Amino acid sequence: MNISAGLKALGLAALMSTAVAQTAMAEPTDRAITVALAVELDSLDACDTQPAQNANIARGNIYESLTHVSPVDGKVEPLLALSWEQIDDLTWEFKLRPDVKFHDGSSFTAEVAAANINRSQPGAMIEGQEIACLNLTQFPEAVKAEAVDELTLRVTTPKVDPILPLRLSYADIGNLATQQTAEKTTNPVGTGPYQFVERIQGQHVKLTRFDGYWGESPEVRDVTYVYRAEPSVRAGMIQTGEAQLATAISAQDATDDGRTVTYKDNRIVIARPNSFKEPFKDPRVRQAVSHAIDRETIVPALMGIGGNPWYQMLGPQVNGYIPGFDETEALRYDPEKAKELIAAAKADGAPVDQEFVLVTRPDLFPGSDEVVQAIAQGLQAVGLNPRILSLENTAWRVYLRQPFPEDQEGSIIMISHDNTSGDATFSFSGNYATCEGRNSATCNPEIDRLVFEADAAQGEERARLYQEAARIMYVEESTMIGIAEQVRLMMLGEGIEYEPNPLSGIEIRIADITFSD
Amino acid sequence: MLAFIRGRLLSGLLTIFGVVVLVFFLARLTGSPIDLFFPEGATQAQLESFSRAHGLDRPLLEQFWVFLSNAARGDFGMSIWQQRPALQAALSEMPATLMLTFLAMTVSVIIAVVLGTIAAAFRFRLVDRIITILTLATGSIPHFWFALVSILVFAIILRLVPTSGAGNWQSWILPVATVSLGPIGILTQVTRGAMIEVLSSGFVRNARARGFGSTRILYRHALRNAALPIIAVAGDIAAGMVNGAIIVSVVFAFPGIGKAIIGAVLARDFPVLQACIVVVGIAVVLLNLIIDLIYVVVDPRVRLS
Amino acid sequence: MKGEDVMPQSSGQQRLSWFQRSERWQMFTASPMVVASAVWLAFIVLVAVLAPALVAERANFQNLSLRFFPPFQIEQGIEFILGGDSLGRPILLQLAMGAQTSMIIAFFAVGISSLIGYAIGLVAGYFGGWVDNSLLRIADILHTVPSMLLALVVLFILEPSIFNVIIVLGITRIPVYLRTARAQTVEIRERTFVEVARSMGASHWRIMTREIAPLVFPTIRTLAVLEVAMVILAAASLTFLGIGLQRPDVDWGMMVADGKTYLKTAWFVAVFPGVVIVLTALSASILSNWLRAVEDPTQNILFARKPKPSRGKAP
Repeated sequence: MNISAGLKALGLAALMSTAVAQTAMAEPTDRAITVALAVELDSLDACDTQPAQNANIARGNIYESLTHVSPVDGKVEPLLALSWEQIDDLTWEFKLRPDVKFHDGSSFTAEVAAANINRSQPGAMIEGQEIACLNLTQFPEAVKAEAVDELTLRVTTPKVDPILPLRLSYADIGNLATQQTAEKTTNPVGTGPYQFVERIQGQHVKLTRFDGYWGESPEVRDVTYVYRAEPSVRAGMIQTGEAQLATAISAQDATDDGRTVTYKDNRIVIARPNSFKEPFKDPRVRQAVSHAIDRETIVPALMGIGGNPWYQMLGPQVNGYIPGFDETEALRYDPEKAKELIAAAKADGAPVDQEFVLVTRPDLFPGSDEVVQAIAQGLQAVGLNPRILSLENTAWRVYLRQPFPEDQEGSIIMISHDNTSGDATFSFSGNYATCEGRNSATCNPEIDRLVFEADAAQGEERARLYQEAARIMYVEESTMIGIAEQVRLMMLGEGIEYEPNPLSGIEIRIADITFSD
Repeated sequence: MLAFIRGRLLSGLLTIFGVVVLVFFLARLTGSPIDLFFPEGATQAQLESFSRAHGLDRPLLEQFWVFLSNAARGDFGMSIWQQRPALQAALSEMPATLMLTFLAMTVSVIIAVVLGTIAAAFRFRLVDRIITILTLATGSIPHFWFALVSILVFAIILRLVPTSGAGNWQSWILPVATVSLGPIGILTQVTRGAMIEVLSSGFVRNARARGFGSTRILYRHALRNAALPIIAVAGDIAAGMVNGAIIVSVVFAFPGIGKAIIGAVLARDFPVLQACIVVVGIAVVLLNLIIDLIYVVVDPRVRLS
Repeated sequence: MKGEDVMPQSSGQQRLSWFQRSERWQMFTASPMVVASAVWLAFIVLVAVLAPALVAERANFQNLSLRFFPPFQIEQGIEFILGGDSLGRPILLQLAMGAQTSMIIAFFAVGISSLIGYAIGLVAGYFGGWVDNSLLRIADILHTVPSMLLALVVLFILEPSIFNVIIVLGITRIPVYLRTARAQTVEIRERTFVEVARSMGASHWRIMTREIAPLVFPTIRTLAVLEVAMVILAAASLTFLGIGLQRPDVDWGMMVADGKTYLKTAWFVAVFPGVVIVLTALSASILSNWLRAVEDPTQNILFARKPKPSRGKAP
């Protein structure tokens, strides 16, 4: 489903008064559940909810934001804001939901909302101290929020930004007291359906249902989050009844009793040749790489239900996704074509035999080391000369990010990229596509022009421009080579009903869980 | 006695200081936490802002000086990732680590002494061979292998113990068993060797000649004399376990300072790493001191020097 | 302390006599277990030397249709007798390839740490005083620095390779040997024969290398053998962190680690390399115990022939 339809509505005042989607007829019970997560959270501060391990617990449970991306169709929906309106190019006005209480009893007002938004901006200072919020990556340039009256909020952007309401879905709202200090809070207070009980670091986080919640009261009363690094242990906990929901289950632990459920969160495995270094300066060699990878064999065999073959860098819910691309234009597996391209490049003097590194990380995605080895064999088969380099995270990033050191060898780096926002700007601008992009290993003025034009455009036009840029990146440049769409697995305990959605990787709303027994 | 203890503590402090200095500079050779902290899309300005907020932009020697002067006052700074003081992050792991070490060492010393003594008493016989082969083999079983299989068998299939976590006493069984495997193997060999040595020495023959029963000889005389090497090796293993036992921590999600150290190294959480090193250092120094004192209790002939 | 009561061996007992040497072969063949261990180790060494030249190509060829091909079947030829791994490579040949890497890592890492620890321990124990103190402090420091940190530092200076693994494991295990060697040296230093040598004007160097070192050596060797399995497995944890070996290079620890994900679905992927590690470590231990028995009858262990008091002394 394309997000462009939703984006079209953004310029207008979206006057929707209905609450977010609720499960039908939730009947509050006094039952408790345990959720087994893979990684312990780092921070429960409202301005640190970007990393999945923090978001998994805090978003949609403890905290809510002004807007919310619908997991169904990717539209931006009202949450703590009821409606919004773009007053002029740089100014937006939000009408906020009345009668919303924080867990500590304080009221949600425009003043609190403004404090939250301002605190999570780049370079935000409180009492002379700089705060480094993780959510600030959602705001490339600082916006400014101020309260007009009790329930009216005004936000000004430094340049035209049609997707501000979408960006604000990443600004979770905590109570005023936590916003007036530069310290990150350890006692999170939000407006969500669950309130914080305790956190014992290294052990667990406990939440309990918030009786003063403005929306419908959920079924589950108490939630305990525990962390288990080993996937088979997480799956085992479901079998023994120690946990009722377990995330990041690996394909080999999946069961076929209906307790293992899957979802896609627009996370794509990508191979990125570095076009600034040999042997990849010649685009034909990069195109050959795409032709040399037999995704249709490798992905089903090695990733099982955990992945699907893929040819783009974005998932189908992102507006930069090109519908129908895979069947028509994609550089699919064709070793003969790859050899021809390499031969042609060689004839023009490209050093195609030069050794390069195929850089990956052991924790890139489950089974990634195997997929990378299979890719390496495919590259060798067409006459390229890869050497696998599986690196620890920080060392891996040296190959990922600009500027690339002078003496760094040629490389293809494996990346697992997700875009849960539905908008390609988070993937392209200043990131993987443009010349100055932090993670870009290509420079094509045409891509830059299209992306920057798209950033200021809206709706269908915005989507079309991003897709145009993507097409050049995939076909002509062949610098972002899609390999697989990741499918994520979750396991549910006996009698637990939960339907995962594309946002489940970053937001597991306990309120969406119901009991079937 | 007191002078001995004071001397050991002083040299222990010196060691800890040396380790801290080394770790401080080594850690900073492995890159910065900044890149890890932010998602891939972060801009340079955002990274710099974070760097300033944590004082990582200042010259290395200045950072070192700040660290030293604060550490001298017991302030190890705030963790970069967790919203709590680094020292607290380190200390919170210690109770479980010490308990696990204590339980595992108790279990493995008891089992090893029993098995080793039996093997020595029946040396060259079949029992001896079986014990030796078994304990050597358990010593070489990969930890995570044993951990995962024991979870599968005892927790998931038989439902005797929980899969993981550190809750009730049952949850300690598998972790203790896993970390005891290696020590049982080594300590059994040590006990056996020491017992054989003692049994073939003069005074045991004397005891026998004076008509003491062989069980009594084994336990009253021989074991007491064989205790020193056992304590020495067990002490070394225990010290290693305090900052080891990582696989157990990871698989069973068991608290442990070993895991905390690895986590801090991988996340470049320098304050937590430094605090953990100091805490572990102190624990190991105290442990070694206790072992030295046990020597004296077991064998008064050992002089404190 | 006076050593005699606690450690009853004297130099005479520890040194090899012509008699024991002549008995060596007899003792060796008398125990089938010792023979089996020796044969296994010899076999592994042979494989380690030959495999890379002979089977590298076939060992590393991935055939995804043979992923987790079950063991003990010969449809795919003898090379798949132990099954196929997660990429459809023959486990048997992967084990053969891994033998070389694992042997190199075990040999050099254990060799480096034991020799350095042995030498420093001797010096520290022999001289005592401030030399001893400062060397011990350095050992303590080395012991407390997390090996993972050291590994990362090495990674940032060098590219990941087998060489790094050897350096890291070698350095971090030095203190174990150092302490053991020192403790024994301190004890032996006080014995009469050392006093005698000293009074006869022997140099420190001569006393250390000729009188003390040979007595310390058996302990160090026993310890080193016990460390072999540990080192092979530790190498795997470095690999998993992206610090050690890189595919297509392989060692046994890496195979165990790779297979652990599939313990439930394809047990053999992790179990066969695990068994090979255990067997190899066990063989090494048995042989080292046997060697010790041969050299020192008071340490008489398991596989030595039971002494026969009446006839044993007769040539």
